[in-house]
Amino acid sequence: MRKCGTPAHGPQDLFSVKHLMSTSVKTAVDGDENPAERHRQWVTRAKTGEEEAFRMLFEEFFPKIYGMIFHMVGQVETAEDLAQSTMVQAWRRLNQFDGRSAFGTWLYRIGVNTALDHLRRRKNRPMESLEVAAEAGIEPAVNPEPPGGALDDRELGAAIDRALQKLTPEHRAVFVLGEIEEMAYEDIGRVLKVKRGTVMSRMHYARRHLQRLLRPFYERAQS
Amino acid sequence: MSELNPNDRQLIATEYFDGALGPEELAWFEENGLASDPVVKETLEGARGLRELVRRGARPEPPAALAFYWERVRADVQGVGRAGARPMRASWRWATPVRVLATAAAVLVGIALVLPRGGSMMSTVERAESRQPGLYTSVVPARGASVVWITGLEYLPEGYVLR
Amino acid sequence: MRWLAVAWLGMAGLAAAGDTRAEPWPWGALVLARMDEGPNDPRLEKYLPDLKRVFGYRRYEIYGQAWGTGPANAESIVLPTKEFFVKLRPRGEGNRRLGFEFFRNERLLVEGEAVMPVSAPLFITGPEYGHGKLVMIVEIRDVAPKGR
Repeated sequence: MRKCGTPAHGPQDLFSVKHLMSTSVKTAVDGDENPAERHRQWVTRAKTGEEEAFRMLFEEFFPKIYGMIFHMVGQVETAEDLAQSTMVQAWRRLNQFDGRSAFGTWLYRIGVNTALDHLRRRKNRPMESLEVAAEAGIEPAVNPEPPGGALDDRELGAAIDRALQKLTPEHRAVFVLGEIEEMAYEDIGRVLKVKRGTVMSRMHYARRHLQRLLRPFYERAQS
Repeated sequence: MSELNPNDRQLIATEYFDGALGPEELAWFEENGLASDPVVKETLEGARGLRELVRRGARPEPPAALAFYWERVRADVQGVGRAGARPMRASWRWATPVRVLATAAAVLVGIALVLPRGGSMMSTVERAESRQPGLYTSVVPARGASVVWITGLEYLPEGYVLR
Repeated sequence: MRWLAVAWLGMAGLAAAGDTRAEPWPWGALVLARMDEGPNDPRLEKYLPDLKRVFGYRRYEIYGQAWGTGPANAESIVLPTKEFFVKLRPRGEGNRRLGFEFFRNERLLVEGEAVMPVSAPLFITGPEYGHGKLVMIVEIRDVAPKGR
């Protein structure tokens, strides 16, 4: 399976979830060493009603699903709620999971759709928007421009999250899944139910938009 | 190569950067010297710079109280909320079941937290409620303190200065 | 009957003299919980085990702290910041039953009732703040603020 960000083009970071998305079983099956097989076993046990098995899935996936949704919605508490909702939906629908894709792919599909549904609803509830909150007099002290001194990773992270929120949800989803979660185009296509070409073009335009938004930070990092 | 307009070259560069070209496409890309095409080079450099920036930026911390969320998920699936997924907090018609579930989950977590200590003097919350739409509360007894846990509060960005 | 009155007054006086502690007074702090490493605020030492157990963050700093505007047996406002504060009202006598109201600016977020013995803190969670969280601590202390 081809991944976004092969070693030839950039480092693999600590937050990669690619091992969770893999559908291939490389060597002799060992539930402890092969994540896909481990997940399959947990799913099988959870389907029989074994709560502990689903708890294992929860512990492994909840933080990752939360991280992905956080990048989608840009708010901690909302992300926690939506990640929780994702896990609840997954548990309830577990019998519908037929194992044709990896459990992670299936779960990410639920999570992304939960986040996208939320974002569509939020369009009609502007008071949840930070921008509107700012208009109402809540002024974040974070400077939209990079600080004059050394580029602080935390400040940079906040700027990236703000910039992500300026993308359309569809472009944001592709960027988050591809660039942050390091999913392959094929997997992104499965999660979002779009064609590979659509994934590619959305990724391209998301990058271009973000490059414009983050240019001051980018230039500072370069210097 | 000359058949490709700049937009197509950018798109191919994106696929190349993401390792999404198949073996034949990759061979074609290399045979045509696309890596040295100015439009492709610019696209690759831009993508590389953005990737470095994104990976350098701090990640959101995972939720701290994982056990708390597990209990909420468990209560939601096994409790009265079987009819549908956990509702969003702003949906008022779900507010009551959410409070019930959140309270039940909080009590479960609380019991686990308070058990080892026994009966020392601690504060006891007898009632906590919010009339604000979208806010709901749970009471979590810890060992040495009681906790009124409010969910639904507006997120404050890093650096927000409290008055 | 006069001896009875004198004895009564004498006992009351002794009881009052014996109670050398100040009247209980509410105190509160708005705490910023963070995941990054760093020193905890030493003023939070006694609360740290519970804060860490409940919230799971690594670092706890006081954003603001304040004594209440009145003693625990009267209405009191604990105002560690102007933005987030708590109003306390006694409910009944003797058992430290207090009504509490948690505000953000003029907006009442949560109200409720709690039995709060001396030195038994109540935590009220505030909003997420950046990558951390705000937590309000309210406690009845057996010392009054200076000057009271």
